[in-house]
Amino acid sequence: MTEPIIEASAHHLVDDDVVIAGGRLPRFLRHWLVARLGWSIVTLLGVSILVFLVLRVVPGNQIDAAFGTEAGTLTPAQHAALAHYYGIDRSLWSQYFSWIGSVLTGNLGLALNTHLSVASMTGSALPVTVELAVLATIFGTVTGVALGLLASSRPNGVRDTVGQSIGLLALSVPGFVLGTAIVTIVAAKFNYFPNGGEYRAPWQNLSENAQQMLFPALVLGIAVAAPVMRTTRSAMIEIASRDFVRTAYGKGLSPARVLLRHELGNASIPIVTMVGIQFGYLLGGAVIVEQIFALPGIGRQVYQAIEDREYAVVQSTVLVIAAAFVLVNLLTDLVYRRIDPRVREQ
Amino acid sequence: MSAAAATLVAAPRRSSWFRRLLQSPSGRIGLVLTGLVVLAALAAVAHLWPYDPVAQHPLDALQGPSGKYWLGTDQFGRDVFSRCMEGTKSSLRVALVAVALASSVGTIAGIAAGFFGGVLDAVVMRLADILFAFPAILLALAIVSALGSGWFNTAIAIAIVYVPIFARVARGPVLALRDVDYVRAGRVLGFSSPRLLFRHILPNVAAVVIVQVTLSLSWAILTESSLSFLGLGTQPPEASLGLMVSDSRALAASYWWTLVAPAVAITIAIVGLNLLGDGLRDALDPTRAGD
Repeated sequence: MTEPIIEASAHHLVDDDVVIAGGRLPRFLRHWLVARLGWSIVTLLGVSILVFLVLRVVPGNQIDAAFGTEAGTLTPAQHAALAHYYGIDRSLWSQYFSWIGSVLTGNLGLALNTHLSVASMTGSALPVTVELAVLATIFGTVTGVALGLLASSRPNGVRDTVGQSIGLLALSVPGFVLGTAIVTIVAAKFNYFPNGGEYRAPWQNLSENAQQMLFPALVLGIAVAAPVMRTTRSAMIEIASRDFVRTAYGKGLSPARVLLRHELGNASIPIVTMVGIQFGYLLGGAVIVEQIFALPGIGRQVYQAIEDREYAVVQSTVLVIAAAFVLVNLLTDLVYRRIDPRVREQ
Repeated sequence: MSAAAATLVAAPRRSSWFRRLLQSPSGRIGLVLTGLVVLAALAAVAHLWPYDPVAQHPLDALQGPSGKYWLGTDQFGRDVFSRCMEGTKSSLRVALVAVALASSVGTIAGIAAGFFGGVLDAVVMRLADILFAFPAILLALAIVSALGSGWFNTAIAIAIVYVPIFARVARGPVLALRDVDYVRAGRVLGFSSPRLLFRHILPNVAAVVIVQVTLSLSWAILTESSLSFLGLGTQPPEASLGLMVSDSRALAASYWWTLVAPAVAITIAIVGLNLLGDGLRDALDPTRAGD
């Protein structure tokens, strides 16, 4: 996959003497990676402070959450003892540092109701979301690129108008509307209730897993396809007018070869970036679709924790999602740099 | 609003962008759809609806669309058409407040960061990076859970999510403009920073910000209805499009209009604002003025 892209990019980069060879990372990329990693860590520290502060704004506190209306009947001494137990009698800084200290040693805290560790909850929820995100991204990328190619094959023609209208509609129909519609129709027509069974991993029961994943991946995939389609279309239209495309035709290459190798090869740079952004978004943004289809993913874990007022769970889970998001963005940047020799100087 | 302003002011540049907007199909359709949404919301504010959206008519529960109830009734016999009007109003209210807050704070921060550079720029952009490190809906969800549900808190949550977008959008052109000849000339002539900012830089940033405002309104409506769907946005008994979709889950198989009506209302609002944003982007882009 990488090779034709690099070769195609090189067509209009004759002045650039270095084309990345396969194998080890080039030096400039390693330097960049170190700097970028450092920045990601700083960002994540900022994220942790923000998450911590946002959840400290919460009206009421863990005591009210755990005891409900009975919190009012507690004596001041009991209240103080509980505050000490939950650690909320300490200063903000001390609370923050003890939290971040435990997070760094792998202790993400406990859910008070179930006494499950957030780490183990995340361990079982994250794979569900990752599977969902991967399936949705594959579906969305294939559909989006295909529609984008179709639309750009004749700009402003009928195909383009139809393609763009589909893209706009896919961008505008909210996931929860689509999800609700699918659940309703599927439940009524096929007597199939997605909210029924427990989640099955693909290696446990492939067909059941496929049944559980099909519709949510479809809903999320449509949301991914729309921006990918738009990016593909505009990149293809822009590239089609470049000199190196004309040269390629002039050399007598077949139109299919020019289209796939030279045009799509170069268009893949913005497309990869867009797909990366969308994939990162799915890691936490799938919360609504997970909720509708009752998939026990990471988004649902946050939502459920908010409902149950399990602030420790919300706090650590949001941090995990943000970390995953930052990591995916980092990888996207890396891939982008790997396939686009032009940005290596930056 | 824009049409009136354009004819009243009669400034050649302004009327020409408006003409360009009307010339593009997406601009025209976007303007019409957005106009419809705004009209529905204004009518709801003025209580110009066929029925009170919270009034229950138990004898007429779950009636299909008819001359009496244009879009049918829900399980309590409430008029779906009137509820869609009120839901549109709720969504638009949250979106307008959120985008007004986000665009003013974000634009000022972005312009200041770009214009003054240095430490201020670094701080603003790093803060933006931190806010960008969350999937938008998750950040909004976390903030709403902290602030508590309700329309104003929803608006604040959405505003916080969108501040960094406006900061980035506004900063870009300012960076480019800082070293443009006419700004440098102004500096040499001893113009004050505010004068340079407001007279020479802001007008150039306005176009991108206006486009961003339009597109953000559509995202804000999407986010508001999503949060309401989860029960964290607008609270009942006030009608909200997201809640209507959520309520329709048990009904839609037999009573399709309970789902289709709010779904279409949300989609019209989002499609309209998206198209208007696209149209405005093309119409306001000075490099396309010759087209």
